[in-house]
Order: sequence, then structure tokens, then C-alpha cells
Amino acid sequence: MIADTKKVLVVDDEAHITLVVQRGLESAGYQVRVANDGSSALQSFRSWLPDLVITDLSMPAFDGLDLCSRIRGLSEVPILVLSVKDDEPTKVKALDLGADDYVSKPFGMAELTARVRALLRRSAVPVEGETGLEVGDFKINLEQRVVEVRGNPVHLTPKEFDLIQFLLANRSKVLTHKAILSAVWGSSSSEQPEYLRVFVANLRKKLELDPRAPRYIKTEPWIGYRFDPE
Amino acid sequence: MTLAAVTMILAVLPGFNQTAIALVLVLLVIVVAVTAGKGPALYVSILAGLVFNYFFIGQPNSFVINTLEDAVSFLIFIITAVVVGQLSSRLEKRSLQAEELLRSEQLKTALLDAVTHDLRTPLTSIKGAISTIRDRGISEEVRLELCEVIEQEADRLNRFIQGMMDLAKLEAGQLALESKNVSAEEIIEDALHRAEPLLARHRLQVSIEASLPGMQVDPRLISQVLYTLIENAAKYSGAGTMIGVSARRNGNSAVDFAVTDDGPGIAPELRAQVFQRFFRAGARPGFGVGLAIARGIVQAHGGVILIAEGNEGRGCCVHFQIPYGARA
Repeated sequence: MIADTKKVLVVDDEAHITLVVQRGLESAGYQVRVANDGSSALQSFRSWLPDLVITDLSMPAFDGLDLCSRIRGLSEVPILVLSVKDDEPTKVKALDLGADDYVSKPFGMAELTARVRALLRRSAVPVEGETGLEVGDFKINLEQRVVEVRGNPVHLTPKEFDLIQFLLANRSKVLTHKAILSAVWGSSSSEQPEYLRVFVANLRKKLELDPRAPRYIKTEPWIGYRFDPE
Repeated sequence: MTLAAVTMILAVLPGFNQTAIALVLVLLVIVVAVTAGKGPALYVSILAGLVFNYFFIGQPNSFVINTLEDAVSFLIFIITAVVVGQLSSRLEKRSLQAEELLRSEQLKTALLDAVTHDLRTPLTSIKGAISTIRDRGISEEVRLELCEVIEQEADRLNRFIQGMMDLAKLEAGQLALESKNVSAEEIIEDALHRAEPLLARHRLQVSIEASLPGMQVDPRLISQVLYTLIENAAKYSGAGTMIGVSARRNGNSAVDFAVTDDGPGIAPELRAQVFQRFFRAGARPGFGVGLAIARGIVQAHGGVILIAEGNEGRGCCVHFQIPYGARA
């Protein structure tokens, strides 16, 4: 069980929210520490070295966005942001600054622990082997540029292969349109999300059992995509 | 006078013919239209027409127009000046209306964000606590702890709604005080009991002057004022810092309540504005009506509320004074 020993740092200036999240995660088997602002969170992060950070975005002085960018400068640890706002620009900014996922308030603990589990699972498995990797229903051979889904080889164009390779390497993370376009097509293409939509639609036709109800490549409305290979 | 002077100066300068001077006069009309509005623009247009006529049309230094050509020149100048002036004024008015609309839209968005924050924050604690109690094997101790969170956050939501109702009543002048004789100690005790979860990360110093006389006030509302000040102090000052709550005599007629903190303080130029509705100092989310309601309640009791420097020039100190025999 991943949950047995994993350490989670919870950051929010609302004492009741940190208490509830702490008790919920502790009951799921995680070790939890809380911090009530960005600077004490950073101190805790340096001394305790958590496996995952959950942070609110709106905090006084040193907010969640600052914290994401400061932690990202130190470590690749998964960061999950909590946001009371539904506005996409804030979420996109957090993701661009290094957050891996977000959960909108109010949330149930079942949803939060599922996201925590997914992020920890992803960080626990090595991303790449010598020539490929096998995760969930997907097997990818990087040398031969071949992808198998549920044991069946799938023919992909070179760009589709690059795209699935990037999604697989960043599985369970929310990826913004900008991040995907920059990684697969180069930074000059980052202003063309329509371009990406066409490729994702084609990939879904090739990979999904029902492309209209995708199981692997999920849309995060107005933000981007999340790839869940299992 | 200015028009005449400008026209005469231009007339003697080389390179300025009749057309150029007419254009300069129209420009003056535009400036007046944009800065002063429609009426003054019309007035200046007619005046410019007369000046132009006096110096340049027909016989010099005379209003007499002899030929049809001069009459047409005069008419065209007047029509152009009036039309341009009125259009410029209308354009300026529309631009101001558009700015006003944008400000109103921005305010609406900010208010919506603030309401969203003030409602969703307690809902998050409640939903998280309920789902943990329901779905997971937790100890009795944790269950009780989470039940307490639910109760306190439900009270917080209720206070938010009560605050909105108080604000509406204050604005309509319909806030009815349910006055009773209470002591400053009772008021402080009630406010501190409600603020207990907010103060968990701060040090608290309470000071109440001995033998303070009782006050004839609405205890719920005065306690709400004190709670708002403590909530702000806890919100804006860092963990581990001191929050002071005090009550003492103010002369022979009033009790002075004060809440001090070691936070960033409020700049002197913002101290009056913080009591306005929807004003928020700093980047903290919130509805921005707490101090507006507090001031309304204090004034309804015949008192005053003001902001001063905190201890040794640090932080903030909010005082409010309530007369002993406040309005019933």
C-alpha cells in the first residue's frame, strides 16, 4: 500500500480546512503535517521532505502560486492545489507554475484522496525504462515507436506518437493546452489549442473503446487534458 | 475674450490664413466639448463664429456681411463648429459611460468572487468533515472533533447571512435594537467564545478595566462588532502574534473597546475607506462588508469607531466607543 508511509503536507490558512483534510488523510493511512501560510509551508517542506503537497491558492502575503513555483524550484514532488475559485485563468496559472492537479472547493474527502492516490502512484513508478514503459492498458516501445493498447498494436502518426508519449510520461496530471503544445509542437504553437483538439480527437478514435465517452484522455474544460492509462 | 485674443494673435502670425484659423477655432470648440460638455461647447461654437465673422469675414473689425460668399462661409463655420462640438461632447460622454460600466462589471465580479469565497470556505470544511465521518473508520475522538467543525462552520454561514440581513436593515434604516443591560465583560466573553477557532494560532491578551458600569445595548450586535474586529485581526496578522482585546472607560459617558494586532496595519489614507461597503484592504478574499456593518451598528448605538496605529507603531488598533446608556 502506497498510503502506509507517504507523507503529505497540507497548506491552507483556514484552520478548519487543514484539520478536516488532515483527519481525512490520516484515516486513509497517510502521515500529514499542516502549515497555515506559504513561508511556514516552505520551511516544513525543507525539513520534512513530504511526498506530496496540497495547497490552497488564496493565502496572505506568500500565496499558493508562489509556493508552487518555489517548491518546483526545489523538487519534482507532486503538488495538488485547492481553489475556491472556479476561474480557469487561476487554475491554468497554478498548473503552469508547477502544480500537477487541482480540486475545487468544496470537495469530498473521497475525491481528494483519489487524486492524492493517483498523483502518488504516478510519482512512485519510474517514468521511463531503457526502451519503453508499460502502464495500465498501455505499452510503449520508444525505440520502435510502437504503442500497444490492451495488448493490441495501434498505428500512430509521428506527431500522435509524440503526443501519447508526452501524455504517458505525465499521466494523472492535469496538462494545460499550452504545456502540451509547447512540449509536442514547440513553443511557437502554444497559442493554437484548436490544433491540439484535432489531434486528441484522432488519438481518441484510435485508443478509446468509446471516443465519445473517453476513459483514457479526459478533457479538463477550458484548461487542457488529463491522461489516465488505467 | 480668450477666443478673440487667440484669433488676433493667429491673424498676425505668418502662415496662418483664414482656413487655418477656422480649424484652430474648431479645435478650441472640441477641447471645450470634451472637458466641459455639450452646453459650453454650443456657447463657444457661437462665440467662435462671431469672432471669426468679426475679424475675417466681410469687412474687417465688423460684423457686417456684404456678399453671399461671406454669408455661406459664416454659416459653414457655425454649422461645423456646432456639429463637431456636439459630437465630441457625445463621444466623451459615451466613453465615460463605458468606463463606468466596466467599473461596475469589475465590482460585480469582485463581489461574486468574495461571496463565493465566504460561502464555499465553510462549505468545504462541512463537506470534508461529513464525508470523512461517513466513509472512513475514525475514532470517536476524531468524530467529535469533526462534528464540532461542522457546527462552528454552520454558525459561520449563519453569521454571514445575518450580516447580510443586518447590512440591508442598516441601509434601509430599519435596524431595531434589542437593548438589554449588559457588562463589557459579557460582550467580550461572547465574542471570544465565537472567535475561539480563529484564535488557535495567536496569543491573546484580554484587559478589562475594573468596575465598568453596565451598558444599555443590543448584546448580539455589539458582540458581532467585536467578533468582526477579532476576525480581521486574526486574518491579517501572522501565526504566533499577539491579539489584544480591551475595554476601559472613556470619560464618564462611554466604554472604549479596542482590538489590537501585530499585522501589517492600515495606511492612514485608507483608514476612512475601510468602513465603506465592499472595500477590502490587501489581497485577502472576503466580501468587504464586515467593517461597514460594524460602523452601522456602532453608530446605531450612538457611538463612534476609528482606526489607530497599533502598539509601538506596529500593526493596527481599532477602537469603538459605546455610551453607557446607548439608544434603546
